[in-house]
Amino acid sequence: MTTYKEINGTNIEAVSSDPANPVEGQVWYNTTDNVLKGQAATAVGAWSTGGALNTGRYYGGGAGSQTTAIFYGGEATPGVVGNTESYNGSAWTEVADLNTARVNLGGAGASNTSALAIGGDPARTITESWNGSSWTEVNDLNTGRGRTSGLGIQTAALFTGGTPPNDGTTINESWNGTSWTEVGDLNSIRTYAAVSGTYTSAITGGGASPPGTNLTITESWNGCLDRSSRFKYS
Amino acid sequence: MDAWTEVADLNTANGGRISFGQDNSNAISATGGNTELWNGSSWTETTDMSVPRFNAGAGETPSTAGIIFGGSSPAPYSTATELFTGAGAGQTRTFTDS
Repeated sequence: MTTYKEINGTNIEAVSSDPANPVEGQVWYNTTDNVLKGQAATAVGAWSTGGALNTGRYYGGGAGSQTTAIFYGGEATPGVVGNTESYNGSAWTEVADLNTARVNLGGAGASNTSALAIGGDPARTITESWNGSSWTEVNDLNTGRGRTSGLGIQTAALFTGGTPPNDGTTINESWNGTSWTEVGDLNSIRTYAAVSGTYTSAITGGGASPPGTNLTITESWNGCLDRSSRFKYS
Repeated sequence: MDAWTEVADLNTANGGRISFGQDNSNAISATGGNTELWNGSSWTETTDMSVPRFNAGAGETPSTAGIIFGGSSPAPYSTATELFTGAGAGQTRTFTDS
Protein backbone atom coordinates (compact mmCIF):
# COMPACT_ATOMS: atom_id res chain seq x y z
CA MET A 1 0.00 0.00 0.00
CA THR A 2 1.29 3.44 -0.86
CA THR A 3 2.07 5.54 2.20
CA TYR A 4 1.51 9.25 2.83
CA LYS A 5 5.30 9.76 2.88
CA GLU A 6 5.73 8.08 -0.49
CA ILE A 7 3.16 10.46 -2.01
CA ASN A 8 4.16 13.68 -0.25
CA GLY A 9 7.81 13.09 0.61
CA THR A 10 7.31 13.72 4.34
CA ASN A 11 5.53 12.15 7.26
CA ILE A 12 2.34 13.74 8.60
CA GLU A 13 3.36 16.58 10.91
CA ALA A 14 2.41 16.31 14.58
CA VAL A 15 1.48 19.68 16.08
CA SER A 16 -0.02 20.84 19.37
CA SER A 17 -2.42 23.28 17.66
CA ASP A 18 -3.91 23.59 14.19
CA PRO A 19 -1.79 25.55 11.66
CA ALA A 20 -2.88 29.18 11.27
CA ASN A 21 -3.25 29.16 7.49
CA PRO A 22 -3.47 25.58 6.20
CA VAL A 23 -3.65 25.01 2.46
CA GLU A 24 -6.11 22.73 0.71
CA GLY A 25 -4.91 19.13 0.95
CA GLN A 26 -2.66 19.71 3.97
CA VAL A 27 -2.91 16.98 6.66
CA TRP A 28 -1.63 17.12 10.27
CA TYR A 29 -1.99 15.29 13.58
CA ASN A 30 -3.20 17.47 16.46
CA THR A 31 -1.50 16.07 19.59
CA THR A 32 -3.70 18.14 21.93
CA ASP A 33 -6.97 16.77 20.54
CA ASN A 34 -5.42 13.43 19.50
CA VAL A 35 -7.07 13.59 16.09
CA LEU A 36 -5.96 13.59 12.47
CA LYS A 37 -7.06 16.71 10.61
CA GLY A 38 -6.96 18.03 7.08
CA GLN A 39 -7.85 21.11 5.09
CA ALA A 40 -10.60 20.82 2.46
CA ALA A 41 -12.64 23.17 0.32
CA THR A 42 -16.34 23.43 1.16
CA ALA A 43 -18.54 21.75 -1.44
CA VAL A 44 -21.52 24.07 -0.96
CA GLY A 45 -22.05 27.48 0.57
CA ALA A 46 -22.99 27.83 4.21
CA TRP A 47 -24.66 30.49 6.39
CA SER A 48 -23.52 31.43 9.88
CA THR A 49 -24.97 33.85 12.44
CA GLY A 50 -23.63 37.33 13.12
CA GLY A 51 -24.50 39.99 15.71
CA ALA A 52 -28.10 41.23 15.94
CA LEU A 53 -29.16 44.70 14.77
CA ASN A 54 -30.28 47.15 17.46
CA THR A 55 -33.31 48.18 15.37
CA GLY A 56 -35.10 45.54 13.32
CA ARG A 57 -36.21 46.87 9.91
CA TYR A 58 -36.50 46.18 6.21
CA TYR A 59 -36.33 48.05 2.91
CA GLY A 60 -33.13 49.80 4.08
CA GLY A 61 -29.83 50.37 2.27
CA GLY A 62 -26.74 48.31 2.99
CA ALA A 63 -23.03 48.28 2.21
CA GLY A 64 -19.77 46.66 3.22
CA SER A 65 -18.54 43.17 3.97
CA GLN A 66 -18.66 40.50 6.68
CA THR A 67 -16.21 42.39 8.88
CA THR A 68 -17.20 46.00 8.16
CA ALA A 69 -20.77 46.79 7.15
CA ILE A 70 -23.39 49.52 7.45
CA PHE A 71 -27.23 49.50 7.36
CA TYR A 72 -29.25 52.70 6.99
CA GLY A 73 -32.84 53.87 6.66
CA GLY A 74 -35.76 51.54 6.01
CA GLU A 75 -39.03 50.82 7.73
CA ALA A 76 -39.21 49.92 11.41
CA THR A 77 -41.66 50.46 14.25
CA PRO A 78 -43.31 52.98 14.08
CA GLY A 79 -42.42 53.84 10.45
CA VAL A 80 -39.75 55.18 8.11
CA VAL A 81 -36.43 55.75 9.88
CA GLY A 82 -33.04 57.34 9.19
CA ASN A 83 -31.21 55.08 11.66
CA THR A 84 -27.70 54.06 10.68
CA GLU A 85 -25.94 51.11 12.27
CA SER A 86 -22.28 50.17 11.84
CA TYR A 87 -21.01 46.54 12.03
CA ASN A 88 -17.47 45.65 13.10
CA GLY A 89 -17.57 41.92 12.40
CA SER A 90 -19.33 40.99 15.62
CA ALA A 91 -21.69 43.77 16.81
CA TRP A 92 -23.86 46.60 15.47
CA THR A 93 -23.51 50.14 16.89
CA GLU A 94 -25.87 53.07 16.29
CA VAL A 95 -24.16 55.97 14.55
CA ALA A 96 -25.35 59.22 12.89
CA ASP A 97 -28.70 59.11 11.09
CA LEU A 98 -29.33 59.86 7.42
CA ASN A 99 -30.14 63.51 6.77
CA THR A 100 -33.33 62.35 5.02
CA ALA A 101 -35.06 59.34 6.57
CA ARG A 102 -36.39 57.14 3.79
CA VAL A 103 -37.42 53.66 2.75
CA ASN A 104 -36.76 51.50 -0.32
CA LEU A 105 -33.42 53.21 -0.95
CA GLY A 106 -30.33 51.70 -2.58
CA GLY A 107 -26.95 51.13 -1.02
CA ALA A 108 -23.37 50.92 -2.25
CA GLY A 109 -19.99 51.02 -0.55
CA ALA A 110 -17.01 49.01 0.58
CA SER A 111 -17.14 49.34 4.35
CA ASN A 112 -18.61 51.03 7.43
CA THR A 113 -16.54 54.12 6.62
CA SER A 114 -17.44 54.46 2.93
CA ALA A 115 -20.99 54.18 1.54
CA LEU A 116 -23.75 55.77 -0.53
CA ALA A 117 -27.48 56.05 0.25
CA ILE A 118 -29.29 56.34 -3.07
CA GLY A 119 -32.82 57.46 -3.90
CA GLY A 120 -35.80 55.86 -2.16
CA ASP A 121 -39.58 56.25 -2.02
CA PRO A 122 -41.36 58.29 -3.22
CA ALA A 123 -39.29 58.89 -6.37
CA ARG A 124 -36.43 60.48 -4.43
CA THR A 125 -33.35 61.78 -6.24
CA ILE A 126 -31.37 62.29 -3.01
CA THR A 127 -27.89 60.78 -2.73
CA GLU A 128 -25.97 60.89 0.54
CA SER A 129 -22.33 59.92 1.13
CA TRP A 130 -21.05 58.38 4.41
CA ASN A 131 -17.48 59.01 5.66
CA GLY A 132 -17.53 56.89 8.79
CA SER A 133 -19.06 59.51 11.05
CA SER A 134 -21.70 61.51 9.14
CA TRP A 135 -23.84 61.65 5.99
CA THR A 136 -23.34 64.48 3.46
CA GLU A 137 -25.76 65.18 0.63
CA VAL A 138 -24.06 64.97 -2.76
CA ASN A 139 -25.33 65.27 -6.34
CA ASP A 140 -28.81 63.92 -7.08
CA LEU A 141 -29.90 61.11 -9.37
CA ASN A 142 -31.14 62.30 -12.76
CA THR A 143 -34.36 60.29 -12.27
CA GLY A 144 -35.81 59.85 -8.80
CA ARG A 145 -36.46 56.18 -7.98
CA GLY A 146 -36.92 53.71 -5.17
CA ARG A 147 -37.62 49.99 -4.71
CA THR A 148 -34.33 48.80 -6.17
CA SER A 149 -30.77 48.09 -5.04
CA GLY A 150 -27.50 49.85 -5.62
CA LEU A 151 -24.14 48.21 -6.14
CA GLY A 152 -20.46 49.10 -6.23
CA ILE A 153 -18.37 51.40 -4.09
CA GLN A 154 -18.41 55.07 -3.10
CA THR A 155 -16.59 56.18 -6.25
CA ALA A 156 -18.10 53.76 -8.77
CA ALA A 157 -21.71 52.65 -8.37
CA LEU A 158 -24.84 51.68 -10.31
CA PHE A 159 -28.51 52.27 -9.50
CA THR A 160 -30.73 50.18 -11.74
CA GLY A 161 -34.48 49.89 -12.37
CA GLY A 162 -37.01 50.57 -9.61
CA THR A 163 -40.11 52.74 -9.53
CA PRO A 164 -41.94 54.97 -10.61
CA PRO A 165 -43.85 54.03 -12.62
CA ASN A 166 -45.54 51.46 -10.43
CA ASP A 167 -44.75 48.52 -12.73
CA GLY A 168 -41.08 49.45 -12.85
CA THR A 169 -38.56 51.16 -15.07
CA THR A 170 -35.52 50.18 -17.15
CA ILE A 171 -33.53 53.29 -16.23
CA ASN A 172 -29.92 52.66 -15.17
CA GLU A 173 -27.56 55.32 -13.79
CA SER A 174 -23.82 55.21 -13.11
CA TRP A 175 -22.04 57.16 -10.33
CA ASN A 176 -18.41 58.23 -10.82
CA GLY A 177 -17.79 59.64 -7.37
CA THR A 178 -19.20 63.04 -8.27
CA SER A 179 -22.29 62.77 -10.42
CA TRP A 180 -24.85 60.37 -11.93
CA THR A 181 -24.97 59.63 -15.67
CA GLU A 182 -27.66 57.61 -17.44
CA VAL A 183 -26.10 54.53 -19.06
CA GLY A 184 -27.49 51.43 -20.80
CA ASP A 185 -31.03 50.55 -19.77
CA LEU A 186 -32.31 47.20 -18.59
CA ASN A 187 -34.14 45.14 -21.20
CA SER A 188 -37.12 44.50 -18.89
CA ILE A 189 -38.89 46.74 -16.42
CA ARG A 190 -38.94 45.56 -12.82
CA THR A 191 -39.00 46.68 -9.20
CA TYR A 192 -37.26 45.20 -6.17
CA ALA A 193 -34.71 43.30 -8.27
CA ALA A 194 -31.53 42.15 -6.56
CA VAL A 195 -28.33 43.56 -8.07
CA SER A 196 -24.71 42.62 -7.37
CA GLY A 197 -21.19 42.94 -8.73
CA THR A 198 -19.34 46.05 -9.80
CA TYR A 199 -20.28 48.97 -11.99
CA THR A 200 -18.44 47.37 -14.90
CA SER A 201 -19.68 43.79 -14.42
CA ALA A 202 -22.94 42.95 -12.67
CA ILE A 203 -25.96 40.66 -12.40
CA THR A 204 -29.56 41.55 -11.66
CA GLY A 205 -32.14 38.86 -11.05
CA GLY A 206 -35.75 38.55 -10.01
CA GLY A 207 -37.87 41.45 -8.87
CA ALA A 208 -41.53 42.08 -9.61
CA SER A 209 -43.65 43.57 -12.41
CA PRO A 210 -46.44 44.42 -11.99
CA PRO A 211 -46.32 44.58 -8.18
CA GLY A 212 -47.10 41.16 -6.72
CA THR A 213 -45.98 39.25 -9.81
CA ASN A 214 -42.51 37.93 -9.06
CA LEU A 215 -40.01 37.43 -11.87
CA THR A 216 -37.15 35.06 -12.62
CA ILE A 217 -35.58 37.28 -15.31
CA THR A 218 -31.80 37.67 -15.03
CA GLU A 219 -29.69 40.23 -16.88
CA SER A 220 -25.90 40.54 -17.09
CA TRP A 221 -24.17 43.95 -17.23
CA ASN A 222 -21.00 44.87 -19.09
CA GLY A 223 -20.32 48.58 -19.09
CA CYS A 224 -18.61 51.74 -17.93
CA LEU A 225 -15.26 50.30 -19.04
CA ASP A 226 -14.19 53.58 -20.62
CA ARG A 227 -14.60 55.27 -17.24
CA SER A 228 -13.45 52.47 -14.93
CA SER A 229 -9.73 53.15 -15.34
CA ARG A 230 -10.17 56.29 -13.29
CA PHE A 231 -11.99 54.53 -10.47
CA LYS A 232 -10.15 51.35 -9.58
CA TYR A 233 -11.41 49.03 -6.87
CA SER A 234 -9.06 48.67 -3.97
CA MET B 1 -20.46 49.41 -24.70
CA ASP B 2 -22.83 49.81 -21.76
CA ALA B 3 -25.42 47.06 -22.06
CA TRP B 4 -27.59 44.62 -20.12
CA THR B 5 -28.01 41.18 -21.75
CA GLU B 6 -30.70 38.70 -20.79
CA VAL B 7 -29.26 35.43 -19.54
CA ALA B 8 -30.61 32.28 -17.80
CA ASP B 9 -33.54 32.77 -15.41
CA LEU B 10 -33.62 32.14 -11.68
CA ASN B 11 -35.20 28.81 -10.72
CA THR B 12 -37.68 30.35 -8.30
CA ALA B 13 -39.71 33.55 -8.67
CA ASN B 14 -39.64 34.71 -5.06
CA GLY B 15 -39.93 38.40 -4.21
CA GLY B 16 -37.82 40.51 -1.87
CA ARG B 17 -34.44 39.18 -2.98
CA ILE B 18 -31.07 40.58 -1.94
CA SER B 19 -27.79 39.65 -3.56
CA PHE B 20 -24.03 40.00 -3.47
CA GLY B 21 -21.24 38.83 -5.74
CA GLN B 22 -17.93 39.75 -7.33
CA ASP B 23 -19.09 40.45 -10.89
CA ASN B 24 -21.35 38.98 -13.59
CA SER B 25 -19.68 35.57 -13.29
CA ASN B 26 -20.80 34.85 -9.74
CA ALA B 27 -23.53 35.94 -7.33
CA ILE B 28 -25.69 34.81 -4.45
CA SER B 29 -29.38 35.76 -4.53
CA ALA B 30 -31.33 35.10 -1.33
CA THR B 31 -34.85 35.62 -0.04
CA GLY B 32 -37.36 33.84 2.17
CA GLY B 33 -36.73 30.12 1.84
CA ASN B 34 -34.72 30.28 -1.36
CA THR B 35 -31.03 30.93 -2.05
CA GLU B 36 -29.53 30.55 -5.51
CA LEU B 37 -25.94 30.62 -6.71
CA TRP B 38 -25.01 32.14 -10.13
CA ASN B 39 -21.92 30.69 -11.85
CA GLY B 40 -21.86 32.90 -14.93
CA SER B 41 -24.28 30.81 -16.95
CA SER B 42 -26.99 29.36 -14.69
CA TRP B 43 -28.57 29.51 -11.23
CA THR B 44 -28.33 26.57 -8.80
CA GLU B 45 -30.25 26.24 -5.53
CA THR B 46 -27.97 26.20 -2.50
CA THR B 47 -28.23 26.32 1.28
CA ASP B 48 -30.97 28.62 2.59
CA MET B 49 -30.70 31.25 5.29
CA SER B 50 -31.40 30.11 8.85
CA VAL B 51 -33.87 32.99 9.29
CA PRO B 52 -36.06 33.16 6.16
CA ARG B 53 -36.87 36.82 5.42
CA PHE B 54 -37.61 39.23 2.64
CA ASN B 55 -36.26 42.67 1.68
CA ALA B 56 -33.22 42.49 3.95
CA GLY B 57 -30.12 44.66 3.61
CA ALA B 58 -26.81 43.33 2.31
CA GLY B 59 -23.18 44.31 2.13
CA GLU B 60 -22.62 45.26 -1.49
CA THR B 61 -18.85 44.89 -1.55
CA PRO B 62 -18.00 42.71 -4.56
CA SER B 63 -17.52 39.30 -2.95
CA THR B 64 -19.20 35.90 -2.69
CA ALA B 65 -18.55 35.94 1.06
CA GLY B 66 -21.50 38.16 1.89
CA ILE B 67 -23.52 39.52 4.77
CA ILE B 68 -27.31 39.95 5.04
CA PHE B 69 -29.09 41.86 7.80
CA GLY B 70 -32.64 42.79 8.82
CA GLY B 71 -35.66 41.93 6.70
CA SER B 72 -39.38 41.40 7.07
CA SER B 73 -39.58 38.38 9.31
CA PRO B 74 -39.96 37.22 11.98
CA ALA B 75 -42.69 39.86 12.35
CA PRO B 76 -42.63 42.71 12.47
CA TYR B 77 -38.98 43.25 11.47
CA SER B 78 -35.87 41.10 11.75
CA THR B 79 -32.72 42.03 13.68
CA ALA B 80 -30.88 38.94 12.37
CA THR B 81 -27.49 39.06 10.65
CA GLU B 82 -26.20 36.11 8.63
CA LEU B 83 -22.90 35.56 6.86
CA PHE B 84 -22.54 33.45 3.72
CA THR B 85 -19.33 31.63 2.88
CA GLY B 86 -19.26 30.41 -0.69
CA ALA B 87 -18.35 26.98 -1.97
CA GLY B 88 -14.62 26.48 -2.32
CA ALA B 89 -13.73 28.29 0.88
CA GLY B 90 -11.22 26.52 3.13
CA GLN B 91 -12.53 24.37 5.96
CA THR B 92 -10.64 22.26 8.50
CA ARG B 93 -12.02 18.74 8.86
CA THR B 94 -11.27 15.94 11.34
CA PHE B 95 -10.68 12.43 10.05
CA THR B 96 -12.76 9.69 11.65
CA ASP B 97 -12.74 5.92 11.28
CA SER B 98 -16.52 5.63 10.78
